[in-house]
Amino acid sequence: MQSVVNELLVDLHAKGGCEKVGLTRESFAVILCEVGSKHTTATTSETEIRTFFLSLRVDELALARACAAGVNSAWEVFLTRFREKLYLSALRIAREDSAARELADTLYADLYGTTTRDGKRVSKLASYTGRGSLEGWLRTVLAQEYVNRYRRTKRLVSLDEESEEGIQFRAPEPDPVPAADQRLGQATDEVLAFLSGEDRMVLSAYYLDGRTLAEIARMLGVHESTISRKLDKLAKSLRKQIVAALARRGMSRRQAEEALEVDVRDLQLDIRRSLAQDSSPPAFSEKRVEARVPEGEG
Amino acid sequence: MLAGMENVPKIVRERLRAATPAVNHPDADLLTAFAEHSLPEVERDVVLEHLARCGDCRGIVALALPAMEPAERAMKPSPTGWLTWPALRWAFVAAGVVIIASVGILRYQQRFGAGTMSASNKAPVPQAVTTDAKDRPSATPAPPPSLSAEQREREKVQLSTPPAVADSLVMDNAPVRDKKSQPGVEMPTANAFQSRVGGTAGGGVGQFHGSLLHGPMSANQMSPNQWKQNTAQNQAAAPVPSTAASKQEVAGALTVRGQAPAASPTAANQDMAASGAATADLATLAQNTNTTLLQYEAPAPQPSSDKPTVERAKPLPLPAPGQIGGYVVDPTGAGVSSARVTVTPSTMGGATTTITNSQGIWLVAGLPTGNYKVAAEAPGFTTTVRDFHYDANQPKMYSLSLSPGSVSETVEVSAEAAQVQTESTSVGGPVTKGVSAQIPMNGRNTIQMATLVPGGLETFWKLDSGGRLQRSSDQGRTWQPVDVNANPALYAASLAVAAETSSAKAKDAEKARKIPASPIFHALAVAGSDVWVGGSGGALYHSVDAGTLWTRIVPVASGRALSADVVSLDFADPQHGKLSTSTAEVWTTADAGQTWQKQ
Repeated sequence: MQSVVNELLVDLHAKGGCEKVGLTRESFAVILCEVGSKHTTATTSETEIRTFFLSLRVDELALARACAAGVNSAWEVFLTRFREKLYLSALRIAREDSAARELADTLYADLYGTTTRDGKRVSKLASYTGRGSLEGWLRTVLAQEYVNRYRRTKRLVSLDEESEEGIQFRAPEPDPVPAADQRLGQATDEVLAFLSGEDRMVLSAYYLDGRTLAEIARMLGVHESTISRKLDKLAKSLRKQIVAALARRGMSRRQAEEALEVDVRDLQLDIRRSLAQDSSPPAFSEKRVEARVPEGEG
Repeated sequence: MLAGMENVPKIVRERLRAATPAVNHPDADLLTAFAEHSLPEVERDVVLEHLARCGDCRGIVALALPAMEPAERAMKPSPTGWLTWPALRWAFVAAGVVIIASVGILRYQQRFGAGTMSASNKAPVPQAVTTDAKDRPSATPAPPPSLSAEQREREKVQLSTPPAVADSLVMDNAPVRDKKSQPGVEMPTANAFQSRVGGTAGGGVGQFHGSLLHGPMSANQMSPNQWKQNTAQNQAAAPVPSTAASKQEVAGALTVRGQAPAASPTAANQDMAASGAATADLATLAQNTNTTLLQYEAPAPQPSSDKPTVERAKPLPLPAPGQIGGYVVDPTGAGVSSARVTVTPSTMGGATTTITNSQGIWLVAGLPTGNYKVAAEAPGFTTTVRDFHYDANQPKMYSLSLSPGSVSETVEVSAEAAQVQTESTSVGGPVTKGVSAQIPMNGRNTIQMATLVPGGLETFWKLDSGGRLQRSSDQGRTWQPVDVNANPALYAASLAVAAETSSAKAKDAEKARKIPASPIFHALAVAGSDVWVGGSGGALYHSVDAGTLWTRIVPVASGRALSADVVSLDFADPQHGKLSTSTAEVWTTADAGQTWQKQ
């Protein structure tokens, strides 16, 4: 890798405009090696390393690292370019002005590097490696900060709120259910395991997180209609394949169809515990399901 | 959830939710690259797999989505904005209004004659003409003939120039004619103006023709019959032979106005006779035309600058906030397509480059407010640079005018000499570093650059993945490995020569001799029939005859021989070249590798 860095150093150094932000060729080489070592393993071929380096956003990498090193001119450039955008992104994420300002300010503190390690200022910008745009990275970091904070504060629910939601009166956990129904869970797991990561991600984002088709489409960089078709196709094929998998487990077709329609709350599944994952509030249809459960139990 | 979309069974949702949560979350860098679709396939799959399991990371990616896609918008500025339904709806309404309005105007003109317009503009004039005609039915209309002749000359000027020019000529000189205070002379202006209106409305010459016929009539509130009677009277009083019939209604029109008595109604209707002018006093004519023509010619070039203004006035979308755009035009005002526009912020680096579209419009998005330097360049034009202040909230179009490059600039293009060599069968040429950096190459097969040389298809060279040198003499269909040590005698001889020169070199030569028989090559350069190949441990071989005989070269500079891996070779011509090593050393030669200098 060292040889590739040496070979590309002159070009990358010039391309990144490192001189303007006060990065010498040597210090930039160190940064490149550090970024490269994070990404590459011993088995990575030279061509791949080269492609990797050439795909880096060296100009933004240089800017971020110069800021991390505390170069004033770099900070000037950074603030001119990103101050406004950072706040707007925070506003979009937090959806509320004061929370957005707080979020953006926290990030600024991290970017400036208030935390010290061994008496040394550590800036969050030093972890930017130039794989995506700096602006996108800032948005992602903001979103991470927001999600972390949300997760922390979410646990702190007052007793009043809890009673308002009627949680103390909730139905007891359902009793263990007949063993036959375990087959449904197994069959579903088996079918899901055959789906690609992308398919499962689309399913989760749509059905669990309640993301819109447009949002999922933008996450994946495809058209909205592609996602719509994909979901439709997945829903159909999943049903068919689960029925088939249940049939392999000795269920008749009709039993299998019925099992699919059975409310999941009747099944023996460790759902509540696995719900430790955060996702958006349940959709309306699921609320209805919950309301029906006590009736079924009673 | 969309209506009509098939729902997944509830068990699927529950199992998705129950999937083992992932532990190691991808860092912000990876997520950003994923969201920006710039990850290689393999890594993308890994991230997708994680996202399928991790609700947090899905949330982060979704939250971090940009508000809009400025880059996409920059790529296609107009189609989405103007061809969407809300915009189209207004376009339809506007088109309808225009159609109704134009139909109305046409009908109006047909009924009342275009003269109404001229009457409204120069109301007293047509009346003057007709009164002239009535009051002086005699055969001696002394001032009018000369004037009409003068105007004929003027019309000649008009006829020999494009319509637009003619229009402006007449318009521009209206005051001149005013000074002469000849009542009849005003008419051409009014009528020419009329022709312009007719022309722009799509009526063209026919329209003009009509206006000539109807102009005086409507102004005077006369019926066509009355007009006929009048002219018939006049004709009777002044029977001038109408021989030199001009095909141009314009000329005829002048005749009617200047010498109304002379023209018959039919002539006025069709190709009007230039009769009056034919009898004009030539001396007066010459005198008049000389003075007037000079004045007319002066504004002639003006239309050329006028016309593009009209073209440019086409409705074009302003850039959206955050976008910066404009035109690149040539001296005539026409848009220059495919011109390269570079926008450089004056405070920091990061120049953005774009290419103008077919209309000469360029657009760059995502720039913050500030001062910028915009440079436009296009082949055949000199580069134009402009500084301006750009306010991201108030975008506007910035125009850059390119002036044609001088002749000396074009001569430079042919400076490259022919690359065909007569003394050998192979053909080659320099492939400079700039070219090699720009062309897409699959892996390390840099040697396929030989195809860049005109006629250089005879011998192909490449390095395979194992760093072995390969040659193809059939345009790359088959490849043969080349053993650079195939002629050991020569190799030894070259070493011996090297050894004689200095003791230090001898030591290096001994060291060099120990290099394995087939080194791993990293770099290759072809200059004509000269082939250079370099690789591990300072291995450097040179062939002057397209690879038949190879000589091992041991570059020595200031007592030290090259021992590091050669990673790049660059020979601009067989004599001058340079190589760089893995230890960032650069060696150059100016005598085909006889002596080397280290930098």
